[in-house]
Amino acid sequence: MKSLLLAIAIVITAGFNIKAAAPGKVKVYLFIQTRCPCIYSHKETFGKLLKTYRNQVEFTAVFSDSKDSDKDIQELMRDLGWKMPYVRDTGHRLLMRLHPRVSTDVVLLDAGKVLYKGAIDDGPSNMGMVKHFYLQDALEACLQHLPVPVPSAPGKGCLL
Amino acid sequence: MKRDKTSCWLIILAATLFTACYSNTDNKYAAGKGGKIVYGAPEAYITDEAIPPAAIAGPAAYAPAIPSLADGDTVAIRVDVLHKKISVSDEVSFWAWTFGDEVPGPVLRVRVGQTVKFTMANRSNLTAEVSPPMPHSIDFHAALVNPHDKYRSIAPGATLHFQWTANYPGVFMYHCGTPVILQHMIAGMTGMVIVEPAGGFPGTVNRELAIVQNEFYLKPMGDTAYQTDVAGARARQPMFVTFNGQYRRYMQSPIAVKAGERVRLYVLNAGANLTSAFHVVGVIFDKVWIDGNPRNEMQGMQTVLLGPSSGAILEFTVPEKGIYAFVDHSFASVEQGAIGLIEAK
Repeated sequence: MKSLLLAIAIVITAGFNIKAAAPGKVKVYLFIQTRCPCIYSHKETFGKLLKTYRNQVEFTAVFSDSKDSDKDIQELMRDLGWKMPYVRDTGHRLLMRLHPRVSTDVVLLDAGKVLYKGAIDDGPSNMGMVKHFYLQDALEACLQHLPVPVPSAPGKGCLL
Repeated sequence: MKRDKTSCWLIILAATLFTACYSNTDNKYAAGKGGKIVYGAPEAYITDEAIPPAAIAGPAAYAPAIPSLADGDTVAIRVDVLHKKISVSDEVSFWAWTFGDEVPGPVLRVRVGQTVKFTMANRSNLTAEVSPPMPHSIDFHAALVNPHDKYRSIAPGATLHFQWTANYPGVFMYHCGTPVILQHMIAGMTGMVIVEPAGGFPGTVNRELAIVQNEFYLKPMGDTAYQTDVAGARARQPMFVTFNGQYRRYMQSPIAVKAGERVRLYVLNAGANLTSAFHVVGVIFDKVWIDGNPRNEMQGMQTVLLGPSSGAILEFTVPEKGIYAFVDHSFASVEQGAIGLIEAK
């Protein structure tokens, strides 16, 4: 019976190879697609967040488009200059669970609870000038155990 | 003494007549509506409405054709965004992002003083199975408006509406302004707007043609399909440089003219990166209006230099029967496709 359960677990997790997060660690999932250029609008902002919070937050890029190959994904991550793990969510488990709307949307979770969902920042709505650093503000609040100021903001990206 | 007075009056009269004449000519090409520049326009708005069958409407046509002007002070123009398979040569096609049905997008033609009521639906959601639905926008270089408002990106399925008034005559570019702009432009999202002076362009011609030069940066994706190559675009290393969107277009099917005809070319270098040295072998441009504005006239030019997004109107008389090649005289571009033929019979 144990073997059977183990086999089922392996099959279920085969298409969803996510590393186990440290218990209680804050997580950020970033939904992107290799064929959608919109993420480049957040290259600087998100890149800074990766560096600033890498010890406190577990960042994961999520690719849910089955057309995204590992080669394309690695090329994109290299081009963005981001060092972060990624998962291929081809079974759409994370997509169905977290309901991001567009690629470039992020979801911030603390102990499994969604604290923020949506745009990284509002640069794409302001000709590139960022007026609201939504994710950064949410992370700061979360790490200080304060209420997240804005729980969601519409992102600009490719439909997921 | 009397003779001196008469001479003086004659000089004043001549000067007055000359000034009046000159001013009259100059005013024909003046900017603005009735000579007054119209700044800004009402706020843009977005709707979620049914999409008509045709992707373009109004005074719009695909180059080399030039559409007729619409009458009236207000003109409605529609150009929808599509994700569409486009062939650049017999062997190379890719899923382009387009204004209308072709790359480059349609040539639009309006007159100084006309207010354009512009509509654009983002139809990228209709081809989701092959190309990710994404935001798009449009940036008209011919307009004087708040880009943050009018050139906003709209979501797949949405329809954008805004107005702008044509103030300056010329040959202008339009393109998608959604980040990453480079990628949207090399995916095909560029086109030409011709703004005529209120009284029309000076002189008469037998033939008018629109030529848009642009680069294609592509890389293989499987056996026959290609995709845009942003790294190639950053390195300014195009796979093709084309006139009106196709490799060596007009080589096997030259543009037909007649010997002795007067030809007016509306030329735009849509880029995205390279400068064009536009030249027609065997002719000299006797009139060149830089950026398409008759006030910027140059004469007797062999080659016209056009940076990315620059336009010009070039006129010449076809000297005699024969075949005339038009090229980007930066000859690497010729090797990459920027050559066409005009055949005079």
